[in-house]
Parts: sequence; C-alpha cells; structure tokens
Amino acid sequence: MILSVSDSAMEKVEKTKKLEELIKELVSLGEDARELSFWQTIFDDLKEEEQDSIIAMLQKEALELRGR
Amino acid sequence: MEKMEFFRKKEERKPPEPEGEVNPEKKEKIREWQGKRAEKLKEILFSRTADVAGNYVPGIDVVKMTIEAVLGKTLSKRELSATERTLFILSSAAILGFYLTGDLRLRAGASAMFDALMVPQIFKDIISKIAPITPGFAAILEKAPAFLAQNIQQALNVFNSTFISLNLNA
Repeated sequence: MILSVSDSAMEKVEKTKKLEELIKELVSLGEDARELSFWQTIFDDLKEEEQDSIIAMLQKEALELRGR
Repeated sequence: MEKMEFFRKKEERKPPEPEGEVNPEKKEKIREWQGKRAEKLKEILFSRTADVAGNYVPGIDVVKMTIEAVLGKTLSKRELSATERTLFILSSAAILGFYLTGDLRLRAGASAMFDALMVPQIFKDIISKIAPITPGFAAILEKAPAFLAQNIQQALNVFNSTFISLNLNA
C-alpha cells in the first residue's frame, strides 16, 4: 500500500517534470510562454486524464514544431 | 495591501523569450495548437459545472449555453493571441460563476471588472461563493488572478468585450 502511494507520488512528480520540460522546449520553438505558464499553474488541479491529455497535446505539438 | 501584492507579482514574473525567428509556417502550426488548447481549457472548466447547472439555479442551462455560444464564436477568431483566448475563457468562467452562485450579481460584477484594482477582489468573491457548490471549478479559477495580473490591460479589454457580446446575444 505504501509502495503504491509512493509510486503515485513519483508518477505525479514525473508528469510535472515532463510538463516543465515540454513548456521550456515549446517556448524556445516560439510558443506563448504566458499562456503555457497558466497550464503549469493549474496542472495540479486537473484530473489525471486531463493531465495526460495536455501532456500528449504538448508532445505532439513539440514533435510537429521540431519538424519530425 | 493585498491589491498591491497582486500587482507586485506582475512585475516579478517575466516569461522567457523564444530563441530566434519563428517562420510563418511554424507560427501557423502554433496558432492551431493554441486553438486546440483553448478548446481544452473551455471543456475542462465548463465540464466541472455540468453536475451543478440546473440543480442549483433555475434557468442556468440557458445562461450556460449562451456563454458557451458567445465564447465559441470568439475563440474561433484567428487574430486572437493565446493569452487573449485564455482571458476570454476565464472571463466567461467568471460570468458563469456569478450565475452559479445564485445571487445574479452579473451587472455589478461586470462594471467592477472594468476597474483593474477590482479584478482580484471580484475573482476572490466568486471563488469563495462557488467553492462549496463546485470545488473543481473554483480550484482552477483560484489560479486566474496571477495570470490576470500579468496581463491586466488585455484582461480588462477582454472582460469588456465579453460582457458586450453577452449583452448583445443574451
């Protein structure tokens, strides 16, 4: 049980880290830093599926902008 | 004092700059993704009010549909920046918040929203009243004041425009 809570906390940290990295990359590619920082602010208040959906969207955008 | 603190945060936060020139093709792609994110934010915020709409305030579904229709039309305008789109969603959510509190203070709130110093207080009022009804919606609105502070002039223009659109379309 403790392990499960710890895994969940780790997953949350990883997601937040992933979001930060993606935002940093997207801003360097020309994205709007202010609007993206709002997503960062509300990220913890989103449901898990909403968090996953936002990360997936940002990943796809980064891929597109990198031209791959 | 609290208001001063609100505006001080605006000065401290400076977003990073993009590296180098962004070509038109990339700009177009960025605009498309910004539109998708705006739709997502709208979906997230409005879905949180789905279970309370109708149960607490009679006629709220009609108000909600009007707000969503005006917002949808606004968000589809291509010339809007990502920040403006986000501000339009937040101002619409604030209006919906007024209605959901059940005290129908829309007009009082609308006039106060045109005053930059009143914006944080108005949001605070809405959040405190809406939190017991729909905490998920309130939790996201709680994060709005810092974003508004960074973009206060644009926010005031957007609030103005949102209220005018609603008056014309309601």
